[in-house]
Amino acid sequence: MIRSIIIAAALISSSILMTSSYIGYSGAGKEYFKKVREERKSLRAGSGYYAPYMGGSGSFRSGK
Amino acid sequence: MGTGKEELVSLKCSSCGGGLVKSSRTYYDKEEEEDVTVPLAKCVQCGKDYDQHTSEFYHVFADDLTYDKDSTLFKLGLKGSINNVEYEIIGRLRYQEEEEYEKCTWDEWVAISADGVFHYFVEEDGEIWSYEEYIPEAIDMESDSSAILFEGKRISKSSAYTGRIVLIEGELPWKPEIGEPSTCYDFKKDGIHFTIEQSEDEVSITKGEKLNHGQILSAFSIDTYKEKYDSTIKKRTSYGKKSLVYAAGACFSLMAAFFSCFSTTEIKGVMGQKKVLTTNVPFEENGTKAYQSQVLWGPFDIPEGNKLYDVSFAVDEKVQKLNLEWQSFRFMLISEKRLLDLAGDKVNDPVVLNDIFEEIDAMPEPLESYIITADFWDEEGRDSDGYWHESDKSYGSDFVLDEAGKYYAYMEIFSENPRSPDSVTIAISRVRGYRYYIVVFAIFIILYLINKSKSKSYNELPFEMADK
Repeated sequence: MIRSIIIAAALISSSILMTSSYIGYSGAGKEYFKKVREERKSLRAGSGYYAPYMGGSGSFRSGK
Repeated sequence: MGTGKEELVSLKCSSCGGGLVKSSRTYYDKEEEEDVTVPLAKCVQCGKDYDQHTSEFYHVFADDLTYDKDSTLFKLGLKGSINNVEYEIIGRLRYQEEEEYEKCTWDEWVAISADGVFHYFVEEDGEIWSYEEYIPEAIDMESDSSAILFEGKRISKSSAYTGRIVLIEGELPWKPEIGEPSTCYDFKKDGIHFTIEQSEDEVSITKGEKLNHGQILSAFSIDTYKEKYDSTIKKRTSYGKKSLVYAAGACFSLMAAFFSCFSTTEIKGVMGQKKVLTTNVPFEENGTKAYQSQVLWGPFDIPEGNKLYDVSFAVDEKVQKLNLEWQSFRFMLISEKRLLDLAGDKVNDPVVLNDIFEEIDAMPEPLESYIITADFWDEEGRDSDGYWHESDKSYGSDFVLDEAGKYYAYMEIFSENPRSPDSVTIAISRVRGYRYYIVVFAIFIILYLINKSKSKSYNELPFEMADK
């Protein structure tokens, strides 16, 4: 019984902690700057990394 | 009661006197839509089949239906007292339900009281029922072909089931035989359980009440199982309490998920101010012709930093329908401070802005605080199921923004055909995460089900017990 209460409390606490810490979500701002800065440093000029995005058909059925 | 000699005689084929053996038959079951194999008794001499509606079947398969005959609470010769009436267990019958191919048995223990009255204890699926003879004020089993009238209550004859005797032990007040059928009706009247048993030459009516194993152990002083019974009940209670804790945890997680899911605050004014920088500029890439538009919305205020935000995009079909075509976009969230650093006081000058956005991908230090790329599409085609028409005209993404402040939403829109830049809508909302509450909810449900199941099935006793 006590063990189940401890397990329940641990699970609830961890879910609250992970939710309030935004673990697993993408970061905008400083975190994004750092990531992109590193990526751009490693890219050679003219590599076309940021070529205009043309997604086109998103369907897996590829009909038209 | 049956004797060994009678069993040997009845193990012979009624047609040719040949020996009977276990066999089986396979047929196609239309309801199950598969081949089903059922057991049969078969004569080795003439090949005659005996199915579960024959006595011979139960002689042949008796060992499969009685292998656990010693795993019972009651034993022959037990003496005890219930409600100040003394009983002695003198005989036992085990029945198998005729319609079941798998083992589906119950034990009927015949007891005699000190004053010579017969009493019956039934062990079935871990439950114990105590039955005594009952003489009804009125019963009519014949005049209605579909029902029995029992003291004014109609008992449908379709509720009947047939039990076949597969084991006979001890001294019984009549002479039963292996395979003998008995048609039974179980029903409840005025809160009391009744059973009508109809065999070839007699009808017996009993009324019963449910007892628990603890009552029987105590009444018949069965000390052998007392300790294991107490331990089983203690463990089941413990599992029951644990399941309640996990159920409470599941409720909490679900409520937290619901609360988070519906706690959204929309950021006002995202699409309030708009600067269309370019509209449907044609370009060609890898042999594909397309059009590009650039739009800058803002500035708008994002009032809280270190919070989770959701940005959603959709095609506004009131402005322009997306019909059998694609449209993709690149969205950037740009801090006003960063844009002012580059544009200075010319932040409203389309020429300056165009120059900046022309170089946006070449800047060593990114201008944008976040980027999202996605597309909308509308397609049709034909496959083995025939014609299909599918589309995806909305998209959403979550991100954590570390700094509050004023922001711009910059969008590059690419399309197969010329499209209005106003046909794409953007909404940004402050949201709360709920994914971990859902995960924990699922864990709690699993723990709840495991413990709930153990609170009913945990058993240290050598027989089934349904007590809580």
